[in-house]
Amino acid sequence: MATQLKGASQLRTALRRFEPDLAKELQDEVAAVLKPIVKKARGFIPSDFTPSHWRGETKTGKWPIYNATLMRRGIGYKTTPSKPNRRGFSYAASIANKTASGAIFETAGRKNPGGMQKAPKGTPRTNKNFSHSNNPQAGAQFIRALENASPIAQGNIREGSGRRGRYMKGRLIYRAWAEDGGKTNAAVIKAIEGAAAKFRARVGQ
Amino acid sequence: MATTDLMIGIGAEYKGKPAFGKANKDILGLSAGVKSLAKAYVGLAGAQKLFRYSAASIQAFAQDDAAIQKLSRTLDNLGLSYEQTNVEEFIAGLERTYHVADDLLRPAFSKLVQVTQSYTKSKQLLTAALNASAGAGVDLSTTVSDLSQAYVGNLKGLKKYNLGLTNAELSAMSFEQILTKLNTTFSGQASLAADTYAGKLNALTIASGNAKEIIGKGLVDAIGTAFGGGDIEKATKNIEAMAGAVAEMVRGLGDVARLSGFNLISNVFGALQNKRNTLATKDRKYDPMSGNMPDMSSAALKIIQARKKADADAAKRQKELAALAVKQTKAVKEQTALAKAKSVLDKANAVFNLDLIQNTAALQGKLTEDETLRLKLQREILLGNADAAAKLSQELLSVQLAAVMAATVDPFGQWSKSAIEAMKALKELRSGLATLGTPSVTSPEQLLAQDYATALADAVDPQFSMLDGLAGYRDAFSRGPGTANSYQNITISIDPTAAQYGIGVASVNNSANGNSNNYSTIQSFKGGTGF
Repeated sequence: MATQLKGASQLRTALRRFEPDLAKELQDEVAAVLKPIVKKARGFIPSDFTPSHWRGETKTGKWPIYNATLMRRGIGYKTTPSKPNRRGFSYAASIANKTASGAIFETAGRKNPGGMQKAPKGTPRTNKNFSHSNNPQAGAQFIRALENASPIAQGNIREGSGRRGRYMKGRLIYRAWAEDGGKTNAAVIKAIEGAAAKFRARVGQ
Repeated sequence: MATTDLMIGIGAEYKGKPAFGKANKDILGLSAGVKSLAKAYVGLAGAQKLFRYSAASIQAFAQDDAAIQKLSRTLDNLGLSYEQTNVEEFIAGLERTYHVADDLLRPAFSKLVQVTQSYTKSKQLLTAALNASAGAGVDLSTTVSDLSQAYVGNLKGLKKYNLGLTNAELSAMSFEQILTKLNTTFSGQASLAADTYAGKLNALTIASGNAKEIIGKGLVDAIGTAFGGGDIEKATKNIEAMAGAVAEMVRGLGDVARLSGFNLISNVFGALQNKRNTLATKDRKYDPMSGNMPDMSSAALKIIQARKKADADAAKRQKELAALAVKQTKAVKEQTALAKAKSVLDKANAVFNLDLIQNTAALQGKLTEDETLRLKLQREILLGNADAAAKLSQELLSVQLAAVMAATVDPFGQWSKSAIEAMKALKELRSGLATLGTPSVTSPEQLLAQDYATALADAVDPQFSMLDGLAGYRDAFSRGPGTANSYQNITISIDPTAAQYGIGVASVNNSANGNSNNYSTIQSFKGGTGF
C-alpha cells in the first residue's frame, strides 16, 4: 500500500491554476527522484538473454519475442496523477513496466515458482491454469533461467506484521523498488509536501 | 505496445467509492467532536457561574469584541470579508508565538490592511513590524505607522530604526528593498523577545486577559439567558434585583476559586485552545504519513483566487506609487535644470547691459572681433541655448579683460585705477557665471595681455618684485642721495610673442600720439637674450 495523501491531486490542480511555476518545479523534482530507480530497473534486463522457448514470436503475437531494447524502453515513470484504480485510489506519481515481454520477465514464477502443473489429459488447450507443454519441467526450467538472470524480489517493503501479497513481487521495477528501500517514496512525498508548504506560503493559507 | 498493470504507485489518494465510507466516518468523528466541544462549553458555563459578576471580565470581553467588530468592518469595507477567519487565525497565531496581545495586533493589522488593501501584504508587514519593533525598541503601533507610511512613499519614520542608510539611499530604494533590509536587520528579534523573562510574563498576562475575555463572553450570555431569556435589554432591567445576591457571591468567590477554580479555568482554556490550534497543525514538521495538505475545497480555492486578485491589485498600486515617486523626482530635477539655465541666460544677458564692454572695445580697437562674439552670443541667447551662451559670455569677457590689460598698462607695468576697477568688474562677472557651472575661458588675447604686462613690470623691476605682489618695489629714480653706483648683470627673458605684441601696441600708441617710430631691421628679434 502506497503512502496515503489527502488532496494531492487537488493540490496539483491548484498549483497549475495559481502557481504554474511551482507545478513545474514539483514535476521536475519528482522526475529527478524517479529517474535513478527507472535506470536501475532497466539495468536488470540482460542484453544476451536467450532461454529456450523465448527465441521466437508466436504467430498470433500473444507470446512476444525477447527484445531487451524494447523492454528497457517500456520501463518509465509518470509525474502526473494517475486515474483512480478499481479500488478508488489515484497515485501522485508512478513507475511502470509497460511491454508484454517486460511483464513476462518481471512476473514469471511469482504465482507458481516451480512452474505450472502439467495439464491432465482431456484439458482443453485454452485452459490457462495448466501447462500444455510436453516437457513437464518446461515452466520450472524457464523460471530458473529468469531467476539466474535477475532474482525476483518483494517490492512491498513496509515494516510490521502481516502477509505480503505477490502483486508487488518482480524482477525489474519491483526489484529496483525493493533495493531502494523506500527512499524514493519518501523523497516523492517530501517533494509534494514541500510544494504544498510553498503553495500555502504563497497564497497565505 | 501492450499495457499491463505492472506499476508502482507513489502517494495514493482516495478518489472512488471508498470515499463515501470515509465521509461517513468523518461525520461520526465530527459528531463526537461536537459532543466533546459541547461538554467543554458546559464546563465553561460552570466557570461562568463562578465568575458571574466579574466586571473586569465583561469589560475585557466587550473591548475584545469591539476590536474584532471594528477589524471585521474594515475588512468588509475593503472587500476582503472572505479573509476574516484567516485574519483572526493569523492574529491568534502571532499572539501565541510572539506573546503580543491581540488588543495591539488587531488595530495594527487594521491600519496595515487599510493602506495595502491586501491580506498577504499586511501579514508580511505586520510580521516585519513585530521584528523591527522588538529589535529597535520602538512600540508596535509606531512601527506599524512607519511601515504603512513607507508603503505609500513617506520614508521619514524609518530613520529611527538605524538601518545604516542615508536619506538619498533610502529614497532611491523601492519599498520591497527597504522591507528586505528591515527584515535582514531585525530578523528573529520578535521570537527572541518572546523567549525572554519579560516575554514569558507577557504570555501570562495575555493568557489571563484571554481568560477574562472568554469568561466575560460567558457572563454576558449567561446574564442574558438568566434574566432576560436571551434578551440582553430585558436582562439589564432585572439586574438591579440581583444586587443583594452579588455581595454574597463575591464573598464566596475566593473559596470557590481556591477549591476548583484554577483547575476549571485550565480545563476550559485547554478546550478552547485546542479549538484554536488548527493553525498550528499547518506548521508541523514534515511527516511522510501525515497527509498534511493545504485546504483545497472549492471555497478555499475561491478565497485563494480572490486573495491573488487582491494581492495583484496591491502590487499594481505599489508599482504605481513607485512610478509616481520617480516621476516626481524627475520633475524636480527638470525644474532645477531649467532654473539653472535661466539663471545662466540672465547672467549672459547682463553682459549687454555693461557700458564697460563698449568702452574697452572702443579703447582697444577690437570692435570687429567683439561685435562678432557679441552677435554670436546674442543669437545663442535668443535661441535659449544656455551652455553656448555661457561659453561665449566667458570668451567675450576674457577678450574684454585682455583689451583693458593691454591698453591701459603703463611703461612700468602698472594699471590705472579706472582700469583696475574695470578689470575687477569683468572678473566678478566671470566668477558669477563660473559659479553657475559655465566653463571659464581664457582667450589667447588675455594670455598675451597678461604676458605683456608681466614683461613690462619685469623690465623696470630688477628684483622681479612685482611678481611677488609689488612688495619692496624700487626703481632707479627712487635711489637715495650719495648712493654709490653699482653695476649688475641682469638677465631678462621675454616671451617673444608677448614682446612682439607689446611692441606693436606701443608703436601704434606712439604713432597715434604723433611721434615717429624708429625700426632696425638688421636682425629680427628672437627674444630671450641678455643685453
